[in-house]
Amino acid sequence: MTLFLFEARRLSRKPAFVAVFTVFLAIGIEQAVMDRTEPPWFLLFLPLFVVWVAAFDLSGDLRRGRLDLILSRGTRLSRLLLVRLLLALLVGAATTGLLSAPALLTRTIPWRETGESLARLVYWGALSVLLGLVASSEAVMLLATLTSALVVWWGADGCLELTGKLPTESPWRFFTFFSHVLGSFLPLPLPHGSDQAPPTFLEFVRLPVAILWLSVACLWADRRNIHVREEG
Amino acid sequence: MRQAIEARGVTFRYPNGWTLGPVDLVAPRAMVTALIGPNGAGKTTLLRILGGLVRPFSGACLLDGKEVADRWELARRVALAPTEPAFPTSTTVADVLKLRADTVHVPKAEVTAAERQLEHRLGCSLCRRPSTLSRGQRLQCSITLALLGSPEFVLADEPWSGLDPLAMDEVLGRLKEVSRAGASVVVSSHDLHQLPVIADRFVVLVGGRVRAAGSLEEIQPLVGGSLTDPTLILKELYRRSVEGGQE
Repeated sequence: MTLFLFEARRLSRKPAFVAVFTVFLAIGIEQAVMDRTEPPWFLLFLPLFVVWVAAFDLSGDLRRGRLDLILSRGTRLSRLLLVRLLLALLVGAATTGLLSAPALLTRTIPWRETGESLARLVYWGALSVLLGLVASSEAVMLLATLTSALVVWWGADGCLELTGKLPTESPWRFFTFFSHVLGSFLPLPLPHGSDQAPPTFLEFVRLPVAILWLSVACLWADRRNIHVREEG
Repeated sequence: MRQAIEARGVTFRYPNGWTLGPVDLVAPRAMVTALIGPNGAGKTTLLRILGGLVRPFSGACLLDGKEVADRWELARRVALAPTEPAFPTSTTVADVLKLRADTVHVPKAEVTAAERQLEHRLGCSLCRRPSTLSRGQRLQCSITLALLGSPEFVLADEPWSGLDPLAMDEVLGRLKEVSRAGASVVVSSHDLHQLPVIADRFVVLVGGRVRAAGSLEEIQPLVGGSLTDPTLILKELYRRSVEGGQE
């Protein structure tokens, strides 16, 4: 709990994060109140904020030995990663709950969709904790944005243009599905209900993959020397 | 002589090929062990390995004669004051002090006293960003953090380097006090004038290898036996070790 509060205080002292998040949240709340038929568009981009929280300063602090003072007589690095993920998920889940509440209460969106949104948050939080060990949060956010754009393009036109087949046709449907699961923070860009489209509950496939990323991150952090400076 | 911190055949290899060890080092309880050696000898790396922050390639670290295979267990039990204390971004000294105090379960009265003393030493509030503090001030914070909760094992990497004379005396006094209370203290330093004041044993590390080790009485014959001034004995031992290490 102490470590969680420590990390939460650090996050609250990030003026860029606080400013951007507050603006987006305010717009999201206004949308949620004005139009209860669908969740605010901000929720689509919430995984980017989860990435930001999960990965902020992790790599830089490790590389510059800035975590030595909290690791010595303190906690193991894997525990810090878990706390980061927890903080990121708390920010993400609280925001999802807040912005989805009006639409959920009026039953204009199904609970399943909110569940899928949360699964996306868990996935991107876990992946960011892993990537955050070696890359800055900005780099991870850029990666998430680029891969999402690519996956959306592939689902919309790219597959048809490049292969002459729909992304839901064999042999590309599995590539489409897994590229989406692994690389996009946007909902599945395939026609739901189509016989050839993967069922939407497969969005939950992200959860076991998230556990895999998190396990790799924790094992790597605890067993390997990350960013050991080249000095004698 | 009760063994407290011990490195047994510890080795480490950096990506650039530089290799430490194999190193054998014993730092008994209730004593200050001084680690001396030229820049790049491997002192900081060895201390980081003993402090659990770096995993060695091979060898073992022991506390009170028992091998501690999990380096995070080592990190939990051994307090390390780094030579370039860097605080995590977006924190204050007070935040880190509170985290350390909670983690090692320090009584509130002791924490308050440590905060007041540190504020007095720094001459400013602990709620300041560490980036606004000088290196000397951060070093004092680092020593306070390391000694919080009376640790049994203390590693201090150049703990008074760059400090003003009064602050230096205080650091020397506090390290000696901790060792008198039974802790095993390892100090790395280039200051051969101050080391004999505080240290009971000396270990010379050159090129990643231990070249000499022992108390002043034990190392005096190694340098001819005619020298009596502790600083001169250390200087001569240091010179011979470095020259021997280069051959």
